[in-house]
Amino acid sequence: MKTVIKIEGLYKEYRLGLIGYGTLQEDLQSWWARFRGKPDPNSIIGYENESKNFHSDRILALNDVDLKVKKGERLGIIGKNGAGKTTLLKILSSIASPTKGIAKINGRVASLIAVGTGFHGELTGRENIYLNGAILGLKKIEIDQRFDAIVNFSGVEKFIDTPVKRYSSGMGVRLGFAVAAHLDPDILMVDEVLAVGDIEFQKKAVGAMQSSTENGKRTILFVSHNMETIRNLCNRCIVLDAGKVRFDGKTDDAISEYKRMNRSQTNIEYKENTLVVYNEEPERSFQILSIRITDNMDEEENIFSINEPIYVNLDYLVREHTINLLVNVSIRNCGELLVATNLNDLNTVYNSGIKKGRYKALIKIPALFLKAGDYQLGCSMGVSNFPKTSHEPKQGVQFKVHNNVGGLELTTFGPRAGKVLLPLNWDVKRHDLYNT
Amino acid sequence: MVITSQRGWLNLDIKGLWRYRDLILLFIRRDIVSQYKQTILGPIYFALTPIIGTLISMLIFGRIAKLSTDGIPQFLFYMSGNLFWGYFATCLSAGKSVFESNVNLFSQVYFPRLSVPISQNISALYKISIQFIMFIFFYIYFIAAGYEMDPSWGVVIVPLLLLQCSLLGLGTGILMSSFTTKYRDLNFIYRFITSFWMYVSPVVYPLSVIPEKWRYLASFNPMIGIIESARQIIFGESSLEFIFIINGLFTTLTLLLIGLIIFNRVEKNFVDTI
Repeated sequence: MKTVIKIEGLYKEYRLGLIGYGTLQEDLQSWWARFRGKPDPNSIIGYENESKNFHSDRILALNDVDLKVKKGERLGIIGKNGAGKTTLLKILSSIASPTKGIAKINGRVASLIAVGTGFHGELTGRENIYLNGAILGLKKIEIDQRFDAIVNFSGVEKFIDTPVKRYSSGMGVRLGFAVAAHLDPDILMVDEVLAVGDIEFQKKAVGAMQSSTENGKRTILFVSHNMETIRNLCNRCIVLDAGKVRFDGKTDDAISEYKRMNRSQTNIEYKENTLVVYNEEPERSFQILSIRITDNMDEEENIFSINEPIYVNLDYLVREHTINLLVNVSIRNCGELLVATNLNDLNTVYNSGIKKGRYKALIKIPALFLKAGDYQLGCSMGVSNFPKTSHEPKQGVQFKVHNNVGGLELTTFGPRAGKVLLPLNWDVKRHDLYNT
Repeated sequence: MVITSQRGWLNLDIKGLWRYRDLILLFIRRDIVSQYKQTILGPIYFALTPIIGTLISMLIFGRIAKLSTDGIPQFLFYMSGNLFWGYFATCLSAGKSVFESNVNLFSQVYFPRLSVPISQNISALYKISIQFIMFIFFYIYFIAAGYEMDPSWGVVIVPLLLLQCSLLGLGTGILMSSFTTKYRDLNFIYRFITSFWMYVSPVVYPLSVIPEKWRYLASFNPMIGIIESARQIIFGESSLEFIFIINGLFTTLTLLLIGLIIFNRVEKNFVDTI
């Protein structure tokens, strides 16, 4: 396959801090050096190890990036905040220019750093489609051809002649994305824009991007923090860390590598998702101390395959012997309560109460129970009919369930109706041969 | 497409601008439509501003300072000066604020940045044409009232004079924007320069009041050539010499060229400095 993007030794240097007298002096120095064809004395490129403290106000957002992308590839770009993902996209889409290095691009590029770029509140939806399309590089005639499809996709037909300032934010996003989905470029770069909008629309958007690459002509570069979307969409993935490409390969391997990197650096962002610790509140007679979710190897995890069990580790404290105390776990999907399970309302513990002490509970959510999606899990403790004493912390843990089973996608689990997949036991016997 | 840190001094990407011509047209439309949406009087404001400005000039410079108008009715004299100066000032400020007022847009998507000030220069023509219609209305009124006026067929070059205003405003504006993006201090200089420039231009006085020894130096101010050419054509009354037009064009083109070159170099990295 043809290479459509070729990046060689790309650097991007940023200066942090304030602009003041010193800035002007440095600018003049750099300018004078460049003018004489000498290397910039203020740049840290090439001096990294020798003079670390010398220009501490400069950072390399991209540090010697090499990358080749072939036609038809769907490349995911993952990494922590500040790893250089957005900088890379900005350079490839000409918004910023590199400090050093070269990038060659073959084909028409469209980049989506935000949706609805340049929307003007006073203009109608119709006028904004044209304006936004033109900003993204379409000619008027091309927008004419796509107009009906865009309006259909966005689902705001009724309001197409209403000023955009009267739109809800969701409608604005949908309209913006509808334009973006119809750009039809050779290379599409998307940066996290799917993080906005409701889940239904996100799915539609990902579907649109997936189908647009099916004929192998479109190349996609996709930046996201949502590993699930990356996994669904991309067939290759790179991990950026501090401006360098740390991993380049299969999406699943890249995601594991990314997780492994985060774990070794005890990244807070990651921990927040798998473990929540609550402050001790001594005035309560009972409280939840922490919730942790783990996989079957007892490793903290927040992304599960559909055929893996999920373990909820609950740590709670009972300061006074309490009768009729309930411990409750609830699982929600997009705010909708799917499952609420109580620890002890079916057994005798309920009546005799829970004695003083610190408890650990392990709750197993069986495999093939939750469908693919994003879930929130929360816990609460309370005595029935005494809601005032309940401990119901607002924050819970989040986790995702995906359809990938060892690299294969179990699509049969996707469109099945119902809120949960309950693996029921079917006892089937053929009792008649039905001869005609 | 090749992306590098280098960019040639004169690599102005005119082709890119041409490719985005539909965007320029849509920007023009947006500017015009959005300016008077949700106003009661709409475009009438465009007509009112120069009239009010003219009346103020009449009061201050005509009545109080008693400046000469070379025998031209004060109202028409000040209005003609205000029209051209007003258009130039609009173009200048459009160029000057191109980065500041489009930070969000520019940091999200690439398109030729020049398309923004260019479209603003063109959309400002809508305003100026309403003002010209007002001017013609008053002009006819003054002729009917018995004033001697000697218009020539030269009025056909008025669009060329406006084009020069536009190019001069654009060149100077983007030159200033290239510096103010990083060093905001220069905003003060911008205010100083514009008011100084206005007072060395014959907006509220005729060219004839400029002393002979300053004339050559003054001839490099393109606004003199523009405003006085217009008065020559419209009223048949001006002490304009040919040197003003030549030197004015020279300054205009020089500023435009320098502006384009510097703008072109700043454009590619402004996202990092704003």
